[in-house]
Amino acid sequence: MKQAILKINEKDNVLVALASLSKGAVINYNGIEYTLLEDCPAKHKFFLQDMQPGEEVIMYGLMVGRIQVAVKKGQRMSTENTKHAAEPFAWKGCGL
Amino acid sequence: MHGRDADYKWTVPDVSQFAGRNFNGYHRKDGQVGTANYWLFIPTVFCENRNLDVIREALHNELGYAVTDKYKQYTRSLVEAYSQGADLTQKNIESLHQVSANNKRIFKNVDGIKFLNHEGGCGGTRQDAAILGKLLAAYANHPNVGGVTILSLGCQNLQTKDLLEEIEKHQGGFDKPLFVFEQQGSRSEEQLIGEAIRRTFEGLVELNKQERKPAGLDKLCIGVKCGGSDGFSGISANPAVGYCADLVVALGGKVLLAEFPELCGAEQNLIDRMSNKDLAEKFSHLMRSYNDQAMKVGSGFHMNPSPGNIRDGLITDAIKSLGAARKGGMSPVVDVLDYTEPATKPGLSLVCTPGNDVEATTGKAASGATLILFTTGLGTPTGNPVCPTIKISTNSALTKRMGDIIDIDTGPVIEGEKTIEEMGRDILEYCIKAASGEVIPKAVQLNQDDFIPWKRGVSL
Repeated sequence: MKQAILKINEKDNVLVALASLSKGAVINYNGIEYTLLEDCPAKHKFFLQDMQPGEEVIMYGLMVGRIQVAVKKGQRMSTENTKHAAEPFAWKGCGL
Repeated sequence: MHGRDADYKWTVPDVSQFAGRNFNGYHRKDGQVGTANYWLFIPTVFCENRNLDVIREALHNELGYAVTDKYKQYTRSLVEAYSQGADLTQKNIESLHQVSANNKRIFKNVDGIKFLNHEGGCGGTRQDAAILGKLLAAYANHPNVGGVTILSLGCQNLQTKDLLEEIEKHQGGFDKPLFVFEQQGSRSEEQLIGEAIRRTFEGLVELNKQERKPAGLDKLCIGVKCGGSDGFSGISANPAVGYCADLVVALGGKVLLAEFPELCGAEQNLIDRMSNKDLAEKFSHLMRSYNDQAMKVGSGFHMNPSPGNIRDGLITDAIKSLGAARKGGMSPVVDVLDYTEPATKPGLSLVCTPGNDVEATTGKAASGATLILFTTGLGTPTGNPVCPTIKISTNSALTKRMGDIIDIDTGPVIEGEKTIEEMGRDILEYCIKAASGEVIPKAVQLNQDDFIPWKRGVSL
């Protein structure tokens, strides 16, 4: 069966819509149901949990931005609720 | 203290499907193995471009490498219709029933005769000429190149002697046939070109005696690139290519990730994957000095994502950059190379190049890539003269629309029909065939030989 969503990395707290999903659509992922709170066009992402301002948005298993205003599970990621956040990069020791 | 410690850990993927596998390549004396066997023409300066064009026309047509027969025949049919007073609008190219292609190759073990026409070698700064010399030398030493003909004018900034010195610096020495012809020392254009063709022909006879022989997959050196991207690039094609890259690394091969302006926002992750501080410092220095240069001319890496990107779901710069960086996989970064530095360590290396498609592919081949995996969402024809470039579509609609330039479709990932891992393994299977000359990527079939040296000024 065609799968309409994709989780790119296990640690991600967003899912990617592979096809356009309408508001109210119910997505079942790993046994949990997510109800879309707004339209989510293909290639866009929606949140897997309620999140507060300042929390990290994780995609590719890494931080891709921070929450700006409180969001709910099933809401679409947008430039209004998520902002790019990058810390100055630096050597932090060998992770290997 | 704030910030986090590097918490990176890489799980080596399962490579049992590929254990003990080989590709059939051309073994060079320095230990490298080519995926193709090309003769290469190099001009020291743009003044020789016209002479190269004449030689290409002659050799490609007569030795079976030309791809323009169809269009020549079509033009003849238009001439015929015109002379008969017929309606030209009725003469579609599709109406050509039979194309009598003269593509019978005389030298079956010579995969092509390639030409590095460029716009440099004189007129710019001496530093420009020096960097160009390093780049051209890297191509002469490329494992896919079996012999070289250099055409020089004589008085240009990039002197033949300097170019030959660069070529001979190669680790393991230079031992390929190489001929030099200088126009200011020749009697006539005809004598220059005639002599260049004859000597090269003799070289081709020798080159044709080389044969493909089995080599381990650790001899692969794969460059990864994305261009003409869409919102699916970071979702289907790049992660699938990244998984393939991880497989190649796990098998002991080399992978090259470049396009430094596109890595803005992915720096910390890449640094966390480096095993020592020197690498991190070299990378940070290259990133910062490049960005500073861009800022000086009123630009900068930060001008991302574009409104079109945002509509396509790329909400933050980090999403775009991490999506682009994913084509390099998740393995440790073993080396950081400045432009034209050769990749010598097995594993993933970062190569400093612009994001510009052709400047980036030109730089990857210079650092030793023998195949390039190039993902695209909108469709782009880019290829390289010496490094076969495999075009990978992010979505099936593009594959359907531009099937004449796309080699692999990762649309099944979006359709939910294949996992990223399955797709990554399919891509490596294709690479093995392409590296063995069993499949010819579309860009190679089309002689899409794009070559743009990076003038270190500013090009983003």
